[in-house]
Amino acid sequence: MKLLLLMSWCGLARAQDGADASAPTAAVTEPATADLAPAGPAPLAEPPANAPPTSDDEIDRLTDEISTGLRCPVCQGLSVNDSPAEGARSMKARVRDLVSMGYTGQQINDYFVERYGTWILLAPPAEGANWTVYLAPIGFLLVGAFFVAWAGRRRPHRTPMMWRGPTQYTPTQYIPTQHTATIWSRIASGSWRNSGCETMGRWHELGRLGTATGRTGPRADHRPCRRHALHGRDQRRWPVGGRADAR
Amino acid sequence: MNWRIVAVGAVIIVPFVAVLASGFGKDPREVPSVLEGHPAPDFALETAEGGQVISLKDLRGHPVVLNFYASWCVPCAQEHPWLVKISKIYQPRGVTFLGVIYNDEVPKVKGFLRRYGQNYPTLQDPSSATAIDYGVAGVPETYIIDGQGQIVRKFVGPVSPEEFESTLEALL
Repeated sequence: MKLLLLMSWCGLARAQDGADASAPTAAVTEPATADLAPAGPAPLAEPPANAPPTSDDEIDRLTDEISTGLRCPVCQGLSVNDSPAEGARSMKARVRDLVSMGYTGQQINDYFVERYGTWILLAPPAEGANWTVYLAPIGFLLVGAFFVAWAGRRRPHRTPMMWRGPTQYTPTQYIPTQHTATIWSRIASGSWRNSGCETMGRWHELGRLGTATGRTGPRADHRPCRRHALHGRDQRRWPVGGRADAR
Repeated sequence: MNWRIVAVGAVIIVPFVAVLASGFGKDPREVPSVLEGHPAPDFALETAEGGQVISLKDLRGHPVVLNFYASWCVPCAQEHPWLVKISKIYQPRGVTFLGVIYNDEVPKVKGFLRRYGQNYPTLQDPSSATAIDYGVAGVPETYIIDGQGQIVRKFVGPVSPEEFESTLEALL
């Protein structure tokens, strides 16, 4: 207080000595020591909800906790607590002042939101358009799960497509010569004709059935039903010892 | 072309791109101004020269221009001579101009004022409490407060002369 009084006196003396032309022209209140005294932190309009914390450790802990949730206005993606910027340090000091007066985290957050908007909060409140931030990840997860399920369902259909075409899929390439007679005898006896789609597929696979497109293979002009579609290693091993043969 | 896949892809991608597009259109550094139209927080700050306290309460009835600045801020140096010039026009018409130091030292600000001119008082805000009360995120920021103590306009960065003058003219 003595220092403040001295400062105000010095200021007065200088103001009286000065009387220069560049003196400020705004309405200036004469200094009163009572006015100079509250240069420190101003309390908020509402009273603190809590009693002031008693220990410095408690004040520091609350200050860190609250300022971690506040966004540093001059940095990108840093909290007030983490930022070394001057502006953020001032804000942290303000938080500390308010904490030491007994204001709660909610009151302090409200104080900053009133001045900076919800922008100042690193975790925006779940309301209005902000719900997008909270719901979008769940939505993306659901869409992803749906896509995976859908792709998995389609897999038996799609894989044989890769083997389609005369260059990749020819009887000589995939059907060992020693099995050809077996296949033909089975087809001739009708023992493979237990399901329509499969039998037609087999004929194409053998390259014996011509198609309008000139293609051979199970999907040349005939789409095997999902249940009988062969894929992956089953198809390579087909027809002897493969899945179809085991049936 | 599988139109079902295209349709599903569009349903997923279009809203996503729309959100991104709306975000890209904004300046990520821009802090939204929520105080426009609200009462200006009161303050009682000592001038840089010391010994005088200026309180916003005492300035009711006249428009006030409050400019937060610092000597280390380049845009402030560009803006300041213009503010000094415009204050010479509007102060006689009843507008009070005030500067507030933001995160700076008084001697450096005094040097700044000697270099770029001075026509109105500059206030000290040692703990930046007033700057935080006004939601200042950087400097320069300028507030125009009407005679009833309401913030009518906030300029982030150097003021736009046309908007500044038209806002003041509307208040006079």
